[in-house]
This record gives sequence, C-alpha cells and structure tokens, in this order.
Amino acid sequence: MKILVIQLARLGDIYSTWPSLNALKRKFPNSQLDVMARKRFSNALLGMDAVDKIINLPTESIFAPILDKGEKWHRAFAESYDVLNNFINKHSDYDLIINLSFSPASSFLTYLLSNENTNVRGYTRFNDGFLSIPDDASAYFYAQVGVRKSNRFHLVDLFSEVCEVALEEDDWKINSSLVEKELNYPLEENYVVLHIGASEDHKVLNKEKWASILNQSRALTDKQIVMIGADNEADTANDINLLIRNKNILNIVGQTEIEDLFSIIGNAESFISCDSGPMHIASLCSTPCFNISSDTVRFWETGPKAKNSRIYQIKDFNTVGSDEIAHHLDGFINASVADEKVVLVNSNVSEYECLHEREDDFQWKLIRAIYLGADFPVPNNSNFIDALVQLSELNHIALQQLYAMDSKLDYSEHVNLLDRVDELMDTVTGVVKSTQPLVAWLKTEKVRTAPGETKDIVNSYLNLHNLFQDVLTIYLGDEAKYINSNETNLGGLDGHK
Amino acid sequence: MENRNEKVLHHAFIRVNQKAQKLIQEKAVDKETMKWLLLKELIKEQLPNENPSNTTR
Repeated sequence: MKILVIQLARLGDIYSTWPSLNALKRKFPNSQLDVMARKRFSNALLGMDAVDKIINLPTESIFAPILDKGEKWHRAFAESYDVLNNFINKHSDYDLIINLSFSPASSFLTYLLSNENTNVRGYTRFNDGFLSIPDDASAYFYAQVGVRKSNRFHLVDLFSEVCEVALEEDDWKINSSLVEKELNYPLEENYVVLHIGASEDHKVLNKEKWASILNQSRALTDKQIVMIGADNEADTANDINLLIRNKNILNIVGQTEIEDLFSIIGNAESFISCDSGPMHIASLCSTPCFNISSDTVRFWETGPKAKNSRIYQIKDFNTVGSDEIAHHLDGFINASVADEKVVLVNSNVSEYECLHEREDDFQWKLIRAIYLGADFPVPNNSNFIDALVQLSELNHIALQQLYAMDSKLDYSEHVNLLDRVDELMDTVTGVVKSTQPLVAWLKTEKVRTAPGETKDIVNSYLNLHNLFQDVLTIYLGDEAKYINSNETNLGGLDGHK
Repeated sequence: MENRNEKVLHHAFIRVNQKAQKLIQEKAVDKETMKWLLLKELIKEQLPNENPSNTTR
C-alpha cells in the first residue's frame, strides 16, 4: 500500500504532523509512507523515521520560467505548466492520499494526484472543480478551526483525526539519536533555551521587551540561557544580548541546522518562546515550554504539548508589562502554583487546563454539543436567543424555497433567494458571534454536497436546513418548528415534513 | 529583485486566472483546467499577504 501525506504548511504544522505519521506507520506497518512538503520547509522531516520518502513540491522549478522569462508570458506559462504536469504524472500512483494542508492549492493538487482507485482524506475537488471535503474531520476543520473561530482541539489531534488514527503515547517518541547528537557547544548541565523569533511579526515580542523580561526574571538570574533562531534573527539576538544583565548567555542564533535543535532543546531544562516552529520540537522532545502567545494566534490549536508547559496569552504585546510576564515565567521555571491567567499543559494527550473564563467559552460548548453530542449550553445573554430568532426566520425562508423547487419550474429565483439567506445568516453571525459555530456547521455541510441532479441537491439541502431548524428549536421551543404548507409542490422530492 | 518578482508574479496570477476562467467558459472543467487552477493558487500563495500556511484556517 502506498500512502501519501500532503503537508504544505510551515515548520510548526510539519512537526505537529509527526505523531500522526508514527501512528500511520503503526497502523499500516508494511506500507510505503511518503510525505510531500515544500522544499524550504522539508528539513522539518529529517529524522522522521516513519517516512519512507520526502517529496519536495518543486515550487522553484514551477515558477522559474515565469520569473526568468518576464513578459514572454505564453511560453513561460507553458513551461511552468509542463513542470507541474510532469510532477503530477510522476506521483499519481497512491492508494491513500491524506491532505493535511487545508488550502485551495493543496485541494487541487490532491485531486490531480489521485486516481479512480485512490482513497482520499482531506480537502480535494469534485470533478466540476468545486471544493470537496470527503471526511468529517476535515469538514470540522473547514467550519470551526482558525482565527476568530472557537475550536479548542489541537492541530496534532485534528491531523490524527483526518488520518483516521488514534494517537498513543509512543507516537510522540522520536529517534533518540536526534536528541543524543553530539554538538560542539559549551552547554552546561542545566540550561534554558530561548527562541526570540517566529514566522510572522505579530507573533513576537520586540527586543526591548525580551530584554526587560529576562532582566526582571529572578529564576533565570543564574541559569545559562541558550539563544537559538534563524539567520535573520541574529541582529535582534545580538541586541538583546547587549541589553541583558545575565552574562551566562550562549548566543547561537543563525548557527544551527534545524535538526540540531532536537539535541539543544531535547537536553534543556525548559524552552521559552512565542509561537514558533522550535516550540513544536520542544513538544516532540517532551521539554516543558513557556509559551508567550499572541492574541492573534489560536494557542488551543498550535500551543505546546509537552507535560508541564504553560501558556501565557497576551492581548496586546505593547501594553502588558514585562514584570508581569517575568512573574509568570518565574512561576513556570520554579514549578510554583500557576496564576489563573496561565493555561496549563498536563500531558500531550489531554486538553489544556484553563482556569479562567474566556470570551468564547459558550461557543466552545456549542461546538461540543454540535459535534460531540454534549448538552447544548445555556446562553448567558439574550442576544444569542434574539439572533436565533432571526436565523430561524431566515431558515424558514430557505426551507420554503427548497420545498417549492419543483423540477417543472424555473428555480433560478429560488436559488437567488437561498443565496440571499446565506448572506443574511452571515450578517447575523457577524453581529452575534456566539451563533457562529451553528451557521458554520450548516454552511460547511452544504459545501460538502456533491454535484448531481438538482433533485438530489435540493434533498440534501432540505435535510441540512431541517437539522439546523431542529437545533434552533432546542432553544426557541416548538413554535419555531417549520410547518411545510407547500407539500403539493414537492414534485417527487423526499424532503422533511 | 524581490519587488520585481512580486510584480511578475502578480501579473502572472492575473493572466493564469484569465486562462483558467477562459477554459472553464469553453468546456466542462477537466484535469487540464484543474492544473491551471492549481498553478494559479500556487502563484497566489507567493504574493504578499498570502502565505503557505493552512490558508482556510
């Protein structure tokens, strides 16, 4: 059996894929397991023993004709197309393709690499070019995961769901030679690793803030601090080095290969960073991490997983005092009782322990009710119910149109109205955000409807809108139920009544 | 150099998109069209404010 896992995202997502790759190899021990990644990030697969072959997506070769030929577009595009075409033809013999990338490009790629015998999980395309989401885990991702949404399942766990594997503790184990690799750095017995950078500016503290935190931390006064990072972070690291009082600093920013980080981080007492790729190496090495997380990042999805890690999320990096961050950092280093503002990581297989109320607690409970069968939460304000009343009215209009879509009639008018209902539901959700999980579920399930006869699509939509109404009825009571007064116009449709 | 590449890729994105849309209008979507759509999306990911992350998140 040949399995291809497509992971076209960056370092953090690739490292978050490691446990699933181990689990896939455990589930299919005789399979050939290949992973496709972008060339500039595929180093993050070095040392991943479960993988038989790393396939680099040749983006440089694909773009070279376009960038080299300038205005000679026609020829340049033809050459780029040929490179892409050859690449697809070379890699289209897989029995199972699992796309863990969730991007439009990856969905087209998945479709083009699969054949009639390929089992596909993750985003792909229907034959008519529309997005196809064949598995429930990817549909959940589409509906509920990301910034401004309320998912709290970690990416590691979502990836495993898409791969259809149940993670075990052993799936987190990495080849010991990675951690035992001998490096010629003067590392002391107990040291702390600090990564000051991240892939995007909004995720990082500025150098003055870092220096101030390190100067105010009592727990770090006597510890060796090992600064790691990429080439482009070297100047910042040098500046921080000049600003901090602790002179027991080993600054090796820009000097390490990515696979060296397993040894450096794996043998450290702890790891400190914002939301960065090496934090995921700490998770794989079971090195506890103090993660200073930006409000623009969903730490629930991408935070540290090593036991005893702590997450301190900050709404605005500019306004929070460095003394406060240093206080929580010291609490982490000394393993003292955590302040309730800090999120705790108790193990790599359990949910985070969050001791304080969060704005989106209600939405998360709603998600658990929709997808896991938990009880529907009691709303804590009337806005939610008011919004549901509006959604119910809109849903009634949608049901009315769907029941009226007799195959003998021109249904373009009905379709226009249904589109308008979708837009208005978005507007309601935009105003009352707590309704977002419900509407996102409905819209996603509609996206999943396969192309086909109008009658079949209408039936599918009817089922979904009726299910949606059932949920609204839980909150609004039986008077919100839709009574179909248009049964004579059903035209053979087997819809809900 | 970076600015030049950005400009070239931006123009390339527009033209490849036009090519794909033309194919969609001329015939039912097939693998050839899908490949052009893939090329378009790959170029789009290289443009400023886009990134190769999980972009639908």
